[in-house]
Amino acid sequence: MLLTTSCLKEEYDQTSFKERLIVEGAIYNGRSAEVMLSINMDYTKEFTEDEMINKVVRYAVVTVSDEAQTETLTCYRDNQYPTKLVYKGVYIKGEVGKSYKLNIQYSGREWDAVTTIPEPEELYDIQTEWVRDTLYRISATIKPKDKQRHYMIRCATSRDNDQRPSYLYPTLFGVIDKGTDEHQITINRPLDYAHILNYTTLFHSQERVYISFSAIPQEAYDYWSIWENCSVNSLNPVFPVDENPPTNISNGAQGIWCGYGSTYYIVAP
Amino acid sequence: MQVAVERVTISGKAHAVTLPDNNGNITLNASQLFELPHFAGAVDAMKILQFTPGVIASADGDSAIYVRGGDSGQNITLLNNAPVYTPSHLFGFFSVFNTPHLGGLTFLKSNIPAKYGYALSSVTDTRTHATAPSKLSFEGNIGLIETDIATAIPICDNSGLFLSARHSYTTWIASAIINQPNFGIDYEFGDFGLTFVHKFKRAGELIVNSHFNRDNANLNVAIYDSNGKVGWWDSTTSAILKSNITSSIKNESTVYATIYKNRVNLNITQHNIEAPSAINDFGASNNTTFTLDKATIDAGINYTCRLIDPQWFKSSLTPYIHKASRQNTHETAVYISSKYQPLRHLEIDAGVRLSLYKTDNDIFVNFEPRIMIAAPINDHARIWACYNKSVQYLQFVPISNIGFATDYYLSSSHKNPPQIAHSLSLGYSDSALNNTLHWSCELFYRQLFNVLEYDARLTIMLSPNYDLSKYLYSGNGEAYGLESMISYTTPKFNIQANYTLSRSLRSFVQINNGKAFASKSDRRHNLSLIATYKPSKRWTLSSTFTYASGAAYTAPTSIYSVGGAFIKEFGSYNGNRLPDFHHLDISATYWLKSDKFQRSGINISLYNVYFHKNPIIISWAIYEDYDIDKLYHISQRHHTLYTFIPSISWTFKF
Repeated sequence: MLLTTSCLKEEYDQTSFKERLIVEGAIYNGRSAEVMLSINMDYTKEFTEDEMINKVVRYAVVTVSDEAQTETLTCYRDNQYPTKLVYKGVYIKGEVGKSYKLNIQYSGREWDAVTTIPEPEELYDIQTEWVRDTLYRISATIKPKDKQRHYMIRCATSRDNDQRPSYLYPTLFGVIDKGTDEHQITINRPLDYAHILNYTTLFHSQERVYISFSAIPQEAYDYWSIWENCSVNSLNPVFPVDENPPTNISNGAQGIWCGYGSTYYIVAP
Repeated sequence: MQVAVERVTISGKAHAVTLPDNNGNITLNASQLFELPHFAGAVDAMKILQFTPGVIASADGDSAIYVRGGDSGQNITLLNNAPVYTPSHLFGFFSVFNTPHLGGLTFLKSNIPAKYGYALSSVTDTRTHATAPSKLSFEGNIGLIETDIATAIPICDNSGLFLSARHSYTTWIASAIINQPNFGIDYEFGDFGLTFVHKFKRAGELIVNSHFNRDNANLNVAIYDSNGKVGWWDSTTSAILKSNITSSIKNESTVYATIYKNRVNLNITQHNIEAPSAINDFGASNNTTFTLDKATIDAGINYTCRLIDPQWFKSSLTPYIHKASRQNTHETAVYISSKYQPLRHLEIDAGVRLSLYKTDNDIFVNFEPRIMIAAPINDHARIWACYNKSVQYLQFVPISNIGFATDYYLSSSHKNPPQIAHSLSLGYSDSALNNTLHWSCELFYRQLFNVLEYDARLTIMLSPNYDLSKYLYSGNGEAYGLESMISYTTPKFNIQANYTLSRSLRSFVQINNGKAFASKSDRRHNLSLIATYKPSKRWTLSSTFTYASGAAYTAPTSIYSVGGAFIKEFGSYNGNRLPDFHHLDISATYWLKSDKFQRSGINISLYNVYFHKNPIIISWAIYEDYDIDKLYHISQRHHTLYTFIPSISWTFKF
């Protein structure tokens, strides 16, 4: 009799693998759009780097539109991008304050997203400090124009002075919440997941560091802040992660289409 | 009247010992505590509670117990009426109490008398010895994992002292058993107890008790160049004055103070994160017992001033310090309850508790009726029915999901109102074969209101906009099930089997799109077996087996790469299950000497004898293949905390 009085009924939307399009798209002020596309992998199956690369989407039709024109992006091979392939535009360059619509058509389906490029700001200053004989730390001072802005720091390193990195990775703890006053931050090396045991936040003496400091819109902050927690704490049982970053892509895709208002810096010790 | 309902089998010396219990609750006295089986080389009174129907402690590394579908924070352990917030050491392997120091233990989960408040699901009421020792004695255990010693010292005819201490040397074994690559651990724990007992020439006793326990863990993780320190300690001091006002009126007055402090220090890639929390309790209670012809009446008052420092964060990563303000709370309750037997075949145990809870901003008042009606059918069988309404004002925030010390407490507020449970149970017990075969079953149904789920992420905790209340969700729950037990007891051989079939669900507007989901304590099947065999005066052999359906957890369903990182896509909240949990433990003691006053024996205990891996989390791992141009492959990985744990110890009393 007691059992029949139960009123709660268990119900779950998703407990197993569902194939999704993964989008990582960016449009920076003064630069053309770049979009990486891939398909997610079944978590329960073992897979290799090659198989992951095979999940990169090569034959999508990707267009970016502003209020006046639409451009179809071209797919290039570039090993500096995590997916090794990137869809890039030429004519439409990002402008501060303007909105850009992304449209993707692939395998008979269509996805859309819209983003806006915020006004960029400059880092107030950048300092370097030798920590060990061959390692140095980079720190910077932020002076926000107002307390309602979110920021994100990306960087990449190069040991060849002539080679400028084409893709900058999010730095460790590089997503900065609004509400910040002037304060100093540390610019940490991005996590290298494939070589995690040798990871250090510091930079090597031979490395030249290319940094972007970007103002990002709210939807991008919502995405990248949860992305950051997912990436840092995915193995942490004490502060566990079970949250999906919210996407601004329609139709069930994951990822982010983001406008960045960026300033750029090169640091060499 | 006490009739066996859930009978835990204990190894006996000359005679088998069974645990008298009362309508779903369990009571152990000092001599029964002595007869408990060894766990990891030591006798542990609290550990036996895990072999009680309706109680789940079925996850490696989880020090908490889960009672009748409740949450881990819905149980309270009392030592001489004072709360002990961390009743266990080392992932739940040892309780913080030195068993010889205890005079008795009562575990209440079914019919919880009105004098107990504080917790929705269970109360473990432990008591130190209440009478002065007649002679000097030493009792202890020297083992590979820990050494504990207790002594009883008579001071004069009416006074005595009980001292106990425990120190661990677990660093080596923790490193050996914790099966994690690139992971180092340095773990130590200890506890100390002091009890002074004085019997007044006029009827009455004074019991002053002080207890301190601590755990410290240093963790080193090769990944991210990280290390961390986790430490906590609990200090409890109480004084109980018992007086017999008349032959039918007894009074017990208690004053106590409990201080619990917890500190987490993480160093991630040269950045420091600190997260302390604390509770300071100062309380007093008075209970008067009136014994009448057919009834016993308890009436009394409890007061607790509780100062709570919820966990806050300080980090070199950000200039912001989220120093949570101290919560000053006052909890007062008056109660009256009566055990009444109007007829030979009818017993009534009814009571009410009126509690008032005041914080700096809120006042809550709750009325908590409780009733148990039992009908002894004949000399060996009885049925009973219970209803309890319980209210819990101290909220437990389960950050870790693994019952780790990073979890902390905070006060109820208008945003997170007090938790309330309505519990209903219906039981039957019987015995046969000259009282050697016992069986019982109990149906239970519980409704839980304002239970908590916590959903903040570490990175947002460090953000300037972190607001704890945004990430604490209040929701409802429901639990129901059938508990059953059968035991067979002879002077040489005891066996008991417990099986619980149950469900425990939760419903929160903010989680799983508002749809109900399985709670962490939801285990469809929970089975425990405990057996003891004494083939001769020299040998005591015991074995326990534990099985539980896998815990609900939020499983990743896919993985993808964005920003150069591998990101897991999670499925529905608690929509998947960890593998079933089970392990078999055995213990053998060879008694060099054993009589009423002296004993000496060598014990060998083996935990998880078949090396079964019980995962606590499932994640992915990246493996590099250096032969093929540093290509990596990624696969799912089950993280187990430990598997097989051997222990050898010398047990003595003289």
